[in-house]
Amino acid sequence: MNEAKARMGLGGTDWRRSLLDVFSRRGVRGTGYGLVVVFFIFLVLLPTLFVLSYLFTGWNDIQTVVLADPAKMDIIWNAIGLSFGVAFFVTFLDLIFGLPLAWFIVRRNFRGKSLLNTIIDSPLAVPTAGLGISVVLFWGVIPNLANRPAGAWSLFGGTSSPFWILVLLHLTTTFPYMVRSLAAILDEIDLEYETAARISGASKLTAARTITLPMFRSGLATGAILCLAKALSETGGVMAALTLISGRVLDENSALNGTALIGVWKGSYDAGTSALLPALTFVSVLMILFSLLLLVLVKVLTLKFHIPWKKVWPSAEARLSKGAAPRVRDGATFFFLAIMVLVPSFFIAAYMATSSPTQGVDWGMFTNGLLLSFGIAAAATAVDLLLGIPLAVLIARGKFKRLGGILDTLVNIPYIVPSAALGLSLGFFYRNMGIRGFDILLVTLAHVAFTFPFVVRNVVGGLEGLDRGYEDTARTLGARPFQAFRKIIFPLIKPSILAGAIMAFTRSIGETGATISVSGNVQTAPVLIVNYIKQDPSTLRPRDLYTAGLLIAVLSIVTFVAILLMRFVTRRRRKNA
Amino acid sequence: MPNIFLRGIAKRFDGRIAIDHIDLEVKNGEYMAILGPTGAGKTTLLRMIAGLTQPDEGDVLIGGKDVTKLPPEERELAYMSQTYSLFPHLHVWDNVRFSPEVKGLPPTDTDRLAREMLLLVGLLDRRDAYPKELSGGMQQRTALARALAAGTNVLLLDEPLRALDARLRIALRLSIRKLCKDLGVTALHVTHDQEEALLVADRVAIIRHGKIEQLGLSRQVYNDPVGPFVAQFLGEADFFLGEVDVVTQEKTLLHSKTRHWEARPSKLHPGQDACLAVKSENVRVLKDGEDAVNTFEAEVTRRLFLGKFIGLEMTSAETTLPVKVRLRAEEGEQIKEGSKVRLAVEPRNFMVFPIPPGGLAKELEVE
Repeated sequence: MNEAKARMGLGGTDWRRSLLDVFSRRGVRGTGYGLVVVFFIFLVLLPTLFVLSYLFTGWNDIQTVVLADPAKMDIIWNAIGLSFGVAFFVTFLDLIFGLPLAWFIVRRNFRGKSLLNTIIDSPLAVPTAGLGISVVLFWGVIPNLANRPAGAWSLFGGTSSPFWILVLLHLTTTFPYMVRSLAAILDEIDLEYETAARISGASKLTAARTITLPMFRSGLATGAILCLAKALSETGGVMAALTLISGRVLDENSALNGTALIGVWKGSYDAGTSALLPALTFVSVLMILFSLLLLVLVKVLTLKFHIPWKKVWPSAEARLSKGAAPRVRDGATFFFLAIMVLVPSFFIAAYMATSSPTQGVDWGMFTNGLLLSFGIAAAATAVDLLLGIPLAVLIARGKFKRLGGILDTLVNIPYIVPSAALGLSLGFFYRNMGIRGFDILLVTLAHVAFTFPFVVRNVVGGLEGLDRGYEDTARTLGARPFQAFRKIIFPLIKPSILAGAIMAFTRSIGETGATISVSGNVQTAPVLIVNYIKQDPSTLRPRDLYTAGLLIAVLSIVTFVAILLMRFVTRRRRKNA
Repeated sequence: MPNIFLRGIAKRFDGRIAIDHIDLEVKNGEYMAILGPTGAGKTTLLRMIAGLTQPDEGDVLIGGKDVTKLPPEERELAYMSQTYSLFPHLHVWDNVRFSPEVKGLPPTDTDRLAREMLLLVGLLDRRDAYPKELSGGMQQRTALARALAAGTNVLLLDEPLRALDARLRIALRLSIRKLCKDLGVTALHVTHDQEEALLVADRVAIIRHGKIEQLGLSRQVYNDPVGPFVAQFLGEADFFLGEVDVVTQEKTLLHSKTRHWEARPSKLHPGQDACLAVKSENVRVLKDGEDAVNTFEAEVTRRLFLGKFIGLEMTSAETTLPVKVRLRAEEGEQIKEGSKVRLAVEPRNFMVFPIPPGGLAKELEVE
């Protein structure tokens, strides 16, 4: 033993140990964390919120050009009204139908459960621009497309209402999020409580309503925030859908929501209408502020708000708990899932199957778009990991708990801010700093900003679920903080890191709004999809729709594989825990 | 000299006192147990020595060197947590090799050390297993081997036997002590199990509300407790109240409203209120017609069969607290619930303490 100890004293000779010594010094570590925080603030947070500064610097312009112009204000309020109206209504529907579905998944044991889970997640694989097209093909009026496959539209002629088409679109983009968050929390609530209530004489419905539901308010909050943010943020799918149902190029007089308005005005601004700047920034500022306000409101409301029905109707609830009622409920839920979510999401496949491949697909643009998408997503994910992991460590394990809490909240902001507004803000930020050109770099930075929360959230979650005893023990056994991370923490939270990386990657691949609002010149695959639809909607050419469909297929397959991969690694994480 | 020396160490959590200015010395090669009820501050104390928690005040010295400001990895000690914290993604072999490896020992020495330690705990043949494939006892031994392979001479054990079932706990506690003694390791063993503490340690420190109540050899803390709390916490004790009349070299004489008591000598002065304590096994049940000093009557309310022993719970006019007596099974066979018995306490077994500041009942609370 003493001999061993004597040798340990001699252990520090090779260069790797000296390097380790340097990295383990408190000062060096502190500086490292400081740098990460600085990067987060200057690369993610400030660019995301930069446009807000225009409220002060450009207030005069806003007053004279925007506030004083009732026509402009009408456009802005209509767009914002449509955005929030759709977001609330969709979130409401998601809740109504997501709750029984989540319940079904968590509380029932049946064969093919994991298949059902995968199916519910599958719309997430389709880029939202693709969902926009697909949903309209199923539900909507398309004035300029002959020869389309029969869908729900053939029953009633199809809807041309912007509100309804956006609601239908966002059901496909948000429903999986709602089911996921509700199921995740439900899974953690001990069944014991409900069993105890049932044994005390409560019917299934009464027990669920009075015991379990109040316990997962935080799940409701998470689900609602995810859905609201997603619905408010979406740009590409919205522009594609609105273009298709109106049959003409979108302009400020079309029915638009907030993000589409940003997209349209940004297009005109880029084309030289510089007088639009105050209106463009003002609508972005409003979208950002309202979204942040909404985030706070939902959080406070769901935590303060008690589900108010303490009253119990024993016989009525008992009757609803068995027999036909639960079957009707489950039937309605699955009908909703199939008709409102799954079929519309993949209906483009029906179009692809019934129309013939046509000549003249521009394969150069096609492959360039895909390469660009994957390249940007890979680069953004790499930056996310590089900065996100240390930041997550700081949040979950830092000495200053308050700093961790503040960072934890700030990290969510880029997720809440509608990505079109985020892209615009970021573009202005870097142009203001004198950086011009480098469009691809700026787009990548925008993608870093809105994907960053995925990595940090997941890694923080992984760290919080990890027993601190492992690190403590590793340290007492002689491991430097860096060694403890590399040899113990990292291998144990790898599934969380991977899950975060895959989420960030897939989100980046499907993004349109942030990309076009940073730069009109970076034609990633989802941007191409929207452009195919929008360039000349009055003569919507089957070739363009077909090429868009091909792009959607490639992106969907890649993303779907990524989702399967994520399910695989997260399942392994659960097994190890 | 790998002794542990704590000087005025104190810690608060959110304003609540966890450790209240403790001074403590663990001698070189000593095996000391820290014993106390849940929430007494035992684990906090251990974590401050290990460097996992920073004390608000005071110093930690190991081998004469002030390590208060050093991070855990530079303190040259080994720590074993309640749950062992075996690294789940590493084999037994790599778990045990962890410490020498991160300390930069040459691979040959690392392997030799790991082999020796696994041999010592009898797990060399399970070196390729993952921790979750091992039984509780094996996990505990792996954790011990890993701690010992750190090559340090100070071992901190936080409830090392807690997660094991009763029989295994009894089997393993002496083997930990033997290993430490064989290797000449200074050990600090935290536990809430009094029997374990008394059995395994050279000296026992009884800690409560963040303070050391008493420190001494197992025999001392059991037979000569410093106050009612320790008297009751180790084993079981009965309490009576009285007022001191006379204190001499041989004994203390006291009285209550109803009677006189004769007890051990004490440092109390005449006129002072006192509490008398006796370990349950030192209360004698008198046979019919037998006479003794300090006799009193009690009525049996409960009779508990404990295998080798019979436990009796009684009420008596002499005290408001229940009187507990422990008899050998054959002695207690005849005594039924509801029957009246005469009890006696030999003066040399009767301890005298001043009334604790918060009153006796509060003092005896085990939270």
